[in-house]
Amino acid sequence: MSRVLSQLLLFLIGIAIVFMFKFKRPKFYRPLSWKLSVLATGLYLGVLIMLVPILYMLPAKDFIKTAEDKDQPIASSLNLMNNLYNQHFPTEGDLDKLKGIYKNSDQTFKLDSSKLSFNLQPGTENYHVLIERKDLDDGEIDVSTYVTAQYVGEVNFTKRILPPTISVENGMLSLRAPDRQTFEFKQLNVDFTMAQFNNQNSSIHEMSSHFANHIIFIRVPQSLEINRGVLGDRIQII
Amino acid sequence: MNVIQCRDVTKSYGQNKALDHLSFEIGENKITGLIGRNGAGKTTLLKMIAGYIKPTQGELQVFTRKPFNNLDVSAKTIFIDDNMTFPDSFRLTDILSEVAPFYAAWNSNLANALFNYFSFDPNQAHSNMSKGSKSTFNSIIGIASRCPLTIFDEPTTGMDSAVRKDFYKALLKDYLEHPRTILLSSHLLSELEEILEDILLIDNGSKCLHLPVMELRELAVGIRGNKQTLLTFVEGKELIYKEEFAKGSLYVVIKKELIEQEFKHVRQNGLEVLPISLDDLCVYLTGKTGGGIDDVFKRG
Amino acid sequence: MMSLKEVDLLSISLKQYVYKLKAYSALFYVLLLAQIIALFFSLNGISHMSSGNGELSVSVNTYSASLVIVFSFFWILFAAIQLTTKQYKKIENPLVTNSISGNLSNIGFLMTACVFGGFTSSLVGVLLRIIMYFTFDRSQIISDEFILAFSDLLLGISVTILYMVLISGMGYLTGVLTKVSMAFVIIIPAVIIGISKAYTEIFQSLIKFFTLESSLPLFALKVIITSILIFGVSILLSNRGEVSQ
Repeated sequence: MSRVLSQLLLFLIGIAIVFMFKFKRPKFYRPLSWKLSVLATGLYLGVLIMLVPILYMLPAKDFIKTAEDKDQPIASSLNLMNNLYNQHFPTEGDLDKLKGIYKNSDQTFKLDSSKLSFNLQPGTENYHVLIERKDLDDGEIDVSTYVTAQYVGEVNFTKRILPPTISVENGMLSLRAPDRQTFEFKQLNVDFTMAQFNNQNSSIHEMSSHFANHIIFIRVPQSLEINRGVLGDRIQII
Repeated sequence: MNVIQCRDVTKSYGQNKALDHLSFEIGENKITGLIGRNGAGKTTLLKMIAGYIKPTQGELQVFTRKPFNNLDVSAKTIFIDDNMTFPDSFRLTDILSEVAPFYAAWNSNLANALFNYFSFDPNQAHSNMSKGSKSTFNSIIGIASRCPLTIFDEPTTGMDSAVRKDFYKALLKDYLEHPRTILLSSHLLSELEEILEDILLIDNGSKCLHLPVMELRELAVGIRGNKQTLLTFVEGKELIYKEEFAKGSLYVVIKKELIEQEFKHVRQNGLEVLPISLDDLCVYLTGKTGGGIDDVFKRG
Repeated sequence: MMSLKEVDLLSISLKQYVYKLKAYSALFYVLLLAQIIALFFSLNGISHMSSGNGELSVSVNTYSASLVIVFSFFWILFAAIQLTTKQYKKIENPLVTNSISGNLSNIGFLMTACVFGGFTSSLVGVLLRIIMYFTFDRSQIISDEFILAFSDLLLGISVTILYMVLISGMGYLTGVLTKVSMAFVIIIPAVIIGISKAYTEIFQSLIKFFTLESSLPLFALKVIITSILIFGVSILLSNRGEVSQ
């Protein structure tokens, strides 16, 4: 609901309440006895009060915890991307240690060819592919996928991001992005009456989003011939 | 000791004077009837005594205090009329039990007994009652409150004659057991005069007379007879009322004291002396024109 | 002999207060209705934000029970005005009363209404949370302000009550002023609109005087002093007039 619309609605309801007071009831209407009113209002208040312990008894473990500090992971992931841009490549060990970088898949493929070419399908423009040569020729390709910090507002939902689908066939490594993911979040703002004394801003928060980047870290046998093809700028060999 | 003391009280609404230099006193534990034509200022006076409105001029004291906005006077006074409003959320029985705590001398037994006698529906809403039932119900509150000053403004509006009689009886009985000052305003003096002790007659906002009922009954007589004879007889005397009811015949109302010595004379002249009802007397006393409504039809 | 026992203003006011609580109990239905309507609106969320890039889209629905409190504010404003109307004043007539006891019992009623309104409107926030808990996918709920500290709940209740006291005072004074002269029906809105347009700064600082106060004791002090002044003026003004019938 847009802001303007809800304000308009509020105004209309306000008017409706005034009119409820203003117009006299019709003659045939038999007003409710005060005993019933007291009972109803008492019941209402009673039920609401009963809800308080219930609220506190509900387990809260399923909820999304908000990040204590989102600046550091974001800075660290921005820094990483910056380094990649400037051809400073991290090792896999570095990636595991960095804050704000999460490994979301780890796969090993048997190599069926002495050459490796790439098929980066549309939708993978955000994926940075790093290739590191192993010290030995074991005929296996190890692929790890990493994703950098993904935030909306204070919520870090990086771990919910699905890894791309990777397959190796006939010397061709295909990278297919997962289907478009949709994330929905519900947040509750405290009442403005509480916010006034809690240093909270009860008006609607601007939820800034920080979008993730993907890093595909591929470790290949030492002597594998790599054909980057036309995608040379997105595939870096360390 | 006087419960109500009214000195030169005027109440005006703009140019209109509802009460005009009215002075009277009402003693303790008396039943006084406030009688007057429509618009004479009865309700204005009663509301003023009850403390709802302020006099514009003059001094009004109830229980030696100015009644307007006075809690002590309010505690000793109850004003019953058919405009009494009770909350919609109260049933009739609720009203009796909720009003009770306000009046120190309230008698619940009496209230409930009267309530049952008049066979009210305990669950009815006050605002849905008929005019007569409403008046009856309000009167129960007036009687049961046993306020030192109980004011009824037209209490019998809409009541049927059986209920009216019951009401007067109930009021009188309870008054005899628990004397208090009662003020009643009504049009129906004929029914009321049995229970009244005093009558305060007002006309156009001013006092016309304030007398015990007994004295008022003896105040005047009617004389009927041949017009010529009668006119010569009453010549020079002040007439309260004069009516030519048939050609050549005249009817006059005159104060008794004016003809006290001439009673024999009256009979000898073939004139008829008639007693006059209080009701008629009050109408004549406050009459605006000499001949009454008949004059309207005689003209032209 | 007639009784010379003097009546006590406070005990009469107290009796009237009890009488009025019962008499005006139907007013509370209106509050219940207003709060439930507001709750239904709140279930729709107050804002929706979504963003996305090629591979994912994120949407955040924001919910708040503040609307319930706003509706309750409207309610207390009109309830306060209502108490000063002829229709409501008339029920005092059959009782032992004077102007001061009538005002005191009205104020007592309003304070009770404020406490009731403050409690219920803040507690509807609890109800909203429970409804969200059971009807929404819990893994979508951001715990941050969803989890309500008990101390915050108490804070919310007391602040709401204080605001309602202030608003009821303003409504009551407005009602009393219109009794003094009907001209105020036009003057009051005109003055409010006039000040808010012509003296925007003064008007805003007047509002900020309460809404930007972040210390609870100071806020309470400001509200209580202002309310006492407003109600005091109301009593003085209405003490002069005749009870019209």
